[in-house]
Amino acid sequence: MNVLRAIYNFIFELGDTALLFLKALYWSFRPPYRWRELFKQMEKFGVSSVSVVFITSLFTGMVLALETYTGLKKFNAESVIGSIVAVSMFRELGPVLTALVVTGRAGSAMAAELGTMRVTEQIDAMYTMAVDPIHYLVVPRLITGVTMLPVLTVISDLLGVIGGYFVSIVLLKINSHTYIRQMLNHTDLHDLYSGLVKAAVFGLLISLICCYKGLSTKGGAEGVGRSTTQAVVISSVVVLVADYFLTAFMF
Amino acid sequence: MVEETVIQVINLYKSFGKQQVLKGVSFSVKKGELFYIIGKSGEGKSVLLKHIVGLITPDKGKVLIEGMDIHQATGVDALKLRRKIGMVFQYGALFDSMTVYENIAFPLREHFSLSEKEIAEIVKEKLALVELEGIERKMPSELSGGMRKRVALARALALNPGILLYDEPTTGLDPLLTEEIDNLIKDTRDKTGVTSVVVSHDIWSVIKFADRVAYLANGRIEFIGTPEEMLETDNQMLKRFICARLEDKLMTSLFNACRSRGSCTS
Repeated sequence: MNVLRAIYNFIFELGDTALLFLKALYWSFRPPYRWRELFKQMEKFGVSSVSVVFITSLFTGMVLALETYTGLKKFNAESVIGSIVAVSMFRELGPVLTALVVTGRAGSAMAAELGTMRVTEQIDAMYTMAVDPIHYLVVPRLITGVTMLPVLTVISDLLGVIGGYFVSIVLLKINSHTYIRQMLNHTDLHDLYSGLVKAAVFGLLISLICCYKGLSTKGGAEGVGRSTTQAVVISSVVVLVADYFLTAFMF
Repeated sequence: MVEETVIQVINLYKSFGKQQVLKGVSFSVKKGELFYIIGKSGEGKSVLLKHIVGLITPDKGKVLIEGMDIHQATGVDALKLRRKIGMVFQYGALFDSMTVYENIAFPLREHFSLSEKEIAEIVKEKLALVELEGIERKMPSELSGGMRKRVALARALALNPGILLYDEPTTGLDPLLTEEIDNLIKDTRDKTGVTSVVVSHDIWSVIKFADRVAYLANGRIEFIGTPEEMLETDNQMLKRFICARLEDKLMTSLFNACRSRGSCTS
């Protein structure tokens, strides 16, 4: 019985989330366009995550260079470290790492904020003032997710490459000229674009899940905690699952 | 003058899961009336109020606002209809990311394209109406519970609604503050002529100012009438609700004193 119940709940929530997305889509093309609200969200989402993205990406690039070096040294192929670091950052690690970091930083904040607004009846109040909460709250957050996650991913890609370069050139004494030439030879724009498409999809999924969990919060402060945790866990899992399917379909 | 009916609740049914909360509630409220809905906690008073504003959709039955079904209206009609109704929530429900000024300006900004000067004037006027001035720059978290309710009222008044709904406005306040909020509800009605529906379980608020009162129990309206009629009721449950632990006669004299002064504390 419990299994059936869980399946029922899963399908119910999936449908509810899809419905929220469709409603938000409908509202996003209708005036008034709240630019102020949108930029406020973008600032919150982007600026709050940038420092964490900075550090995680830098060190990921560095460790990537270090790890591949030990493996490649056996074949005297150290010079391709640059291309390995760049391709893995652009295609995989940049978008996925950024998505996970942003889920923890901005997604949780989103779910907690909307959840608190729900349990303190602020969302009901908005509705009674004839302002649609999906229009006012969800639409700017979804647009923010879709646009800001690729921006953060570009930063992440860049820092990963810088981290890899630093370790290779300064610590491992690889020739800078060959490193960069190898990197440019084996990386093309398609690697970058595919990563950015992924990032946009992840951004949408994270915002959607966190908004849904926030809006459907029930039961006071405890409920806010519960839905925030769920939002982060579900978003992280969904990002990784979606990553596989996006990769499978895009290449 | 024929009294015009603005709110009509017709045969409302609602259940949550297995629990039936409303089992055929019907009543109507006239224009400019100060109408109280009383009943024990957990009897579905707030649920009923949320049906009137359209926040909850009934299983059966309908709510007519000036003749229009609020649950059937869609798109622009629904927005127009909702703008006629202001609601004051139990804990104020102020946007805590905005200042008091921004809170009251919020519905104005959303619905009208006014200049900043005009908005500032309206905000000032609404704050004066609830006797709070000079707190525009404060955040809701810096206000006391009573002040927050006043600001919530000012915000609900910003769109000049014809109907105001109050969800348990005096619950959890001390007697003096209760009196203050009760007076405010009456003053607001007197000043603006707004039709007011108040959900409460405070019997004294009803005795002081109510034009009419409805008693909600067992998912139905068990009594509806003036406060004077309420005192003469044969309904045993309502009688117990009113008198609590007081003697009948004592209650009558208290009633008269309270009613004539418009106050229970002075």
